[in-house]
Amino acid sequence: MITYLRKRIITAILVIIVSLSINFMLVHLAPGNPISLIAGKDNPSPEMVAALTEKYGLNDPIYIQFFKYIGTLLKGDLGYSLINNEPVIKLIAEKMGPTLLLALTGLILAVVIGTALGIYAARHKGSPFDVVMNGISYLFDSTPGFWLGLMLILVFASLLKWLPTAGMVDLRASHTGFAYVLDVLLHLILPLLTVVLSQIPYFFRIARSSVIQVMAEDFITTLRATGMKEGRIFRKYVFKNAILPTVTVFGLSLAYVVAGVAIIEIVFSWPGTGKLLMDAIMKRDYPLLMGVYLILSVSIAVCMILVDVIYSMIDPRIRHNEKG
Amino acid sequence: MPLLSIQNLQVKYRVKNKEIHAVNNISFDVEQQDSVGIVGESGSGKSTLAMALLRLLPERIAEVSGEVLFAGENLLTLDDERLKARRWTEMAVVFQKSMSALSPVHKIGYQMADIYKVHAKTATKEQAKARILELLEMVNLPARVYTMYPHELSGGMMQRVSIALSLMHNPKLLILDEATTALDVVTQGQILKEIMQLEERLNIARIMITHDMSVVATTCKKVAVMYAGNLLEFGLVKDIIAAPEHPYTKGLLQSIPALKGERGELIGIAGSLPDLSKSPSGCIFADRCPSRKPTCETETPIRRTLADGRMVACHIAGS
Amino acid sequence: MNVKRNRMRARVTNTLQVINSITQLKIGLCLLAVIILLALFAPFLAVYDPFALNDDLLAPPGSQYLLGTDGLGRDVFSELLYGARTSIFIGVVAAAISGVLGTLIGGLSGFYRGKLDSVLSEFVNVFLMLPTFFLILLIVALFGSSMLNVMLVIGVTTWTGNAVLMRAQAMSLRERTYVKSLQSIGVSKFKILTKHIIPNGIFPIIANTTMNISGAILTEAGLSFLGLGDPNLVSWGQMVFHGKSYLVNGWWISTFSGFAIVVTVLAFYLIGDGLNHVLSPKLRDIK
Repeated sequence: MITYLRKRIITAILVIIVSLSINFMLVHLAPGNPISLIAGKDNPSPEMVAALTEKYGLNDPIYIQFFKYIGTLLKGDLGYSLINNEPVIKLIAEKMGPTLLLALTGLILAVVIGTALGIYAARHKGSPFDVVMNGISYLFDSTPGFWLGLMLILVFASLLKWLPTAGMVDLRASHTGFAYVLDVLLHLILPLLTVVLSQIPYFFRIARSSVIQVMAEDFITTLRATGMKEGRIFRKYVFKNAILPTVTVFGLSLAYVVAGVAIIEIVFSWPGTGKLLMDAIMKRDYPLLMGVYLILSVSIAVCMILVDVIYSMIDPRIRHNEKG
Repeated sequence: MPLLSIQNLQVKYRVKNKEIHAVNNISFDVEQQDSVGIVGESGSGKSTLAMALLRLLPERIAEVSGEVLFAGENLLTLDDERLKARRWTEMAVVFQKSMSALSPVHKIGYQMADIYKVHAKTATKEQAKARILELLEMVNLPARVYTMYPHELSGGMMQRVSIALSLMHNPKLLILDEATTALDVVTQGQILKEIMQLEERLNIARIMITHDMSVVATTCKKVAVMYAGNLLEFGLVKDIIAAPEHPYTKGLLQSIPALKGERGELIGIAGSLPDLSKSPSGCIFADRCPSRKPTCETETPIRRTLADGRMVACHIAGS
Repeated sequence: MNVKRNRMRARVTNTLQVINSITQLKIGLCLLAVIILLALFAPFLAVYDPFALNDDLLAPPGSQYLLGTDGLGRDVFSELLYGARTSIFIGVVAAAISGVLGTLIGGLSGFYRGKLDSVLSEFVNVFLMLPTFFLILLIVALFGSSMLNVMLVIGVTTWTGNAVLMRAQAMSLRERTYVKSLQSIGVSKFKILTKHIIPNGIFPIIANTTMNISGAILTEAGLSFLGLGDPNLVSWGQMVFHGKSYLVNGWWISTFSGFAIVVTVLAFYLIGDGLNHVLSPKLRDIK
């Protein structure tokens, strides 16, 4: 297990290094002067140029620049946003809450519902339920999240007027206490539904195919031959074997969902990192864009290690088989 | 009354637009403490036969007809509850791929104890564990296997675990489906010897499915020769080895090298298995048979019983 | 000649039978055929120039404008027809780039094994973990959002799946007797790789590449929706974004353009999945 984990941690560290290098390279390869890129202006003032040249050591050889760049990152300095001249890291931290609220709840709901549906479909393989669910999963897999969100707004907010169209709270009402929570929940429904619906097919298919695969294993035949009841075989043996792939993808999806949620946030004007991202794109705020990308890469690497630790605890084969 | 009586057993697989006759009209008996070897090349339907006896074929794609009388009860029509009660207490099975015979993510002891409690519902944890340690000892495995995972054992050890598992509730009938095929010859010999000792001690009848005629010759009283889903010859091993009647049995015996005595020529059987989705007009073996007659291609041979009690399905046999 | 023709005919019937037996493949191919025909004949079918700004702003769907007009008076139906060209072109080219890259890297890695394989495999592992969509977004934002850039960037960042598949194929094919005999008679390794390993192991990559077309179309739509599409092209993602502002007064703009994305992506997705079923006869026979 130790060897396996060490291998995965090395990969994770490489992921971080590669992400940093890509970031660094992009700044230097992008059209135009890196200073104007970092400064965000085509004609920065001479003082600014001097300050930035000094800070990033732009006159030094390229590898020293790289180490200086890493040095500033290690201090938690992701640079300054061009929009309001605030530290990038502070801007991202402020917007992370709403994003995590949406992404985490959405992902957990999608895993639970998708897995449950997948298991049910696998146990009734070929039934009308299975066929219909398969069709629906294809359909939702082909649907861009942002469009799904728009259609939900169109139906439930514009036409039926059941739910609010955008935002996280009703600004005019200025609720407090319980009413505030309720208001947030009401605003959360549609974006959440969008995230959940676009993630369900993924977990549905993983659960369905791994249950079908496990059910075809030899040890299931052995258990049947012993006269064990189907329910017990399923609860004790099929489930534990079949849930492993879901565990693997769960951690990784967490990071991807945070990314995917960004576009959905834009549709619903949800005040998370998505909004920040949109602004950064619109105003070509490169430090901010790169900051978001870096944080995302690092969190994926961290999620990956966490998943591997959990996985190696559940699956004894990894614990003993050093190869993994 | 025989322990197990198979009568006109038939298995058809329905796949998309074809119907495959995997087992065709097979009948034979297994007496108490009998040992019957079922031999045939791969695809001859011998494993399907075993799975059909145990009613383990998926009902969606396999259609089983005929009768399987176990102590006078037809297993094929038995209701689910009673079938489950018979399983493992009356008849148990050891499968070919012992490495995958148990769940990879549960400890061996946990699984065995769990299976023990399926039929010994009132057993305490300690009782279950004691019984399992006893079983492991019986098949010459160390007690530490109890807390190990399947992938930590070798193929031979897992085979012993499977055998220990099958003997758990003292079954009257044990089915070994290519149970020792994957092992090396030394381990195979050892395990076979142990099985034979155990079955004498525990009064067990055995059906042994294999493609290896020599295994049957050394460990079984009777042999059933299968080909393309059909039973071609059935009788005492000593009679059939000495004087095979069916040309296919002759071919099978000629393809085994002899260890002692004269080195005869090894002869294979030309051709390959027929398409099982088409019903043949005559004998199923006709197009590969070296002694075929014109009638062989037009008439299906009827099963006959010869003077020494063996059954054979062939136009030219016994003449 | 006749024998040859008969064999051809048998092959065609056989192919048709396979297609017919796999529902996904059948539906996917039919959908794709319709979309491609519409895209090909766009200049004849489009009643209006997709860039022409009419005076009828936000005209609802009707006899004059089949699917209505957008906020600038452009005919939605005509835009959709030309948008199909953009989507399919970008999707196919991007997926092809990722297919070629993945096949080469995976093939080299799986066929040569050894150190090269360890290095390339680790490279693939790292690449698999990178947040692809954000990387694409970042690069396009920095380097400009021309169609060429978008296709290249999508292609260069999504080849990992193909590499994993091709590596497995190459590893199993190199153990085959005919490959070993080729090696023993002195055929160069690179020649074996390009002439035998890749052609014999390419099928799963074709299936996966078809699925990747879906992914590329979705990515392009996402970029366009974020304002990072090629401004000189008609793009469904841009239409959805444009329609977002008119959701109340002009629901048809976003609805139809998004629906076009769904149908096109679905078509490639179904075909790719169907091809996977062709690959594994087990899935095909026992339903």
